[in-house]
Amino acid sequence: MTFPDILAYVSSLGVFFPLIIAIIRRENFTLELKLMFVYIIVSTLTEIIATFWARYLHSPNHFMLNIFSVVECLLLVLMYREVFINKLVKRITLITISVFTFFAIFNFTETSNFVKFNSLINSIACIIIIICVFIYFFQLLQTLTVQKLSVTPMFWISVACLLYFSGTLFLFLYGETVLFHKSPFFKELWVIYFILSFIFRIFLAIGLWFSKTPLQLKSSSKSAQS
Amino acid sequence: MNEVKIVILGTIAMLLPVSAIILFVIVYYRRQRLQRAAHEEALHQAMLEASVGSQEVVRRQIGGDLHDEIGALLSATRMSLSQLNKYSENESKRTLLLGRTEELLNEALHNVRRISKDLMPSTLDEFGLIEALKDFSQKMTLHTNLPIHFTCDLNARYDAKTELALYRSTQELVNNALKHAEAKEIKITLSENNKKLRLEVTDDGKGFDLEAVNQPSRGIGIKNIESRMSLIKGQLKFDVEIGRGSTFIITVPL
Repeated sequence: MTFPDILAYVSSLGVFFPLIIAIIRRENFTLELKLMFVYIIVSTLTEIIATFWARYLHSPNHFMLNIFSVVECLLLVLMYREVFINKLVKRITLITISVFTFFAIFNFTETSNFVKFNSLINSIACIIIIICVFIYFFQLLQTLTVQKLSVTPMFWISVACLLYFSGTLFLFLYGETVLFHKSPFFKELWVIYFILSFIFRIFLAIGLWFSKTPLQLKSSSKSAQS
Repeated sequence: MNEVKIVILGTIAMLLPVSAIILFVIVYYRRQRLQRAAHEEALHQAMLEASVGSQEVVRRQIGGDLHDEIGALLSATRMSLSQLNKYSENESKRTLLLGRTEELLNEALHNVRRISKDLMPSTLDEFGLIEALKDFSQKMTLHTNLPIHFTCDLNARYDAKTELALYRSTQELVNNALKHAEAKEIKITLSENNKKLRLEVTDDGKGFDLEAVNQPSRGIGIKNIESRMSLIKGQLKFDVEIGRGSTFIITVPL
């Protein structure tokens, strides 16, 4: 077994970290974290099905990656829409994701776009999520409502998204040229994807771990301290 | 595709988000620090204003008391004394006027003692906080016909600054409850816990909105207490809500 193969296994198994944490902490989830929970379930199922599809049916599973990219973008953007305060930004987010979904469905009507790895759709999905992360960071800087970033779930999730989607955007931009080239150098590039994927999942797990307790969220009595 | 070009692009793609995150965290904490400093400055300014405002209130009160009570009594005494000259030969009238002048002076003296006691209760100086609060709650119950219960299992004296700050804060909180809360009962509890002195003032009144109290235009009462607490490293916590009674807890390290 080669190093990239080991990394591929570790990366695939990494999907279970956030899933386990999400199951443990699910009682504490606010709406945006519930959407993240749904995303984690979808990504775990996709990972399992795609692995079995490739190993046992010996057939390309690129169409799954294409569908998953759209669903992933939809869920993550909806999650960010929940944390955005500005109503205009919320509206633009909704319009963007609706347009993207319709565009992706329209694009998939052509068989070659659906069956092969769709570089365009994957890249657009990455760009939309990166923009959402930057809007969230900007909102944090404007409001300064978070006392400690290191214990804020959305901060960890955003760091995970920014690292993962910026890295994969570079890979997806060149699509099949880079990812499915026969040369050993281009095959090594998959290593980057596996590492990014693993880091992404670990950071998601950390973020979900810091979800607040129900007691803190439901406390109604106001108190102040001089 | 050129391998070198891909390596360069890949490195940039990795470094950019990492740099963005580091930059974001640095800027965030810097802005947060600046905001905290501005907030502390505003709080300090508010406390200073409250302190000056409080001094003005006390001065006005003393001025009013001296003018209305002592001034009026001394004027009456002067008139009474000037009339003594007129009736220098009428012994019975002189005796009557002297008796009235003595009454006026006694009343003036009594009022001076009362004003002085209001300014600095002698019970607090002589017998300490516990006795002073007991005395205060009994007198207030008598004057207002509202039950003000004081509970304390302690028997100790504390630092003079602490005793005065806690006594004044209790006065402020009880007065607030009487003026604004429409309370039917007020409870004052003094206790010690984990090397901290804990004073709790609760009422069953109509409560108030915390946001309104936190406004810069709010009354000087709470600011005064906060100002006093900052001097003795005490903490004021309050559990309040419109429609239910209020609870104020003051803790002071011993």
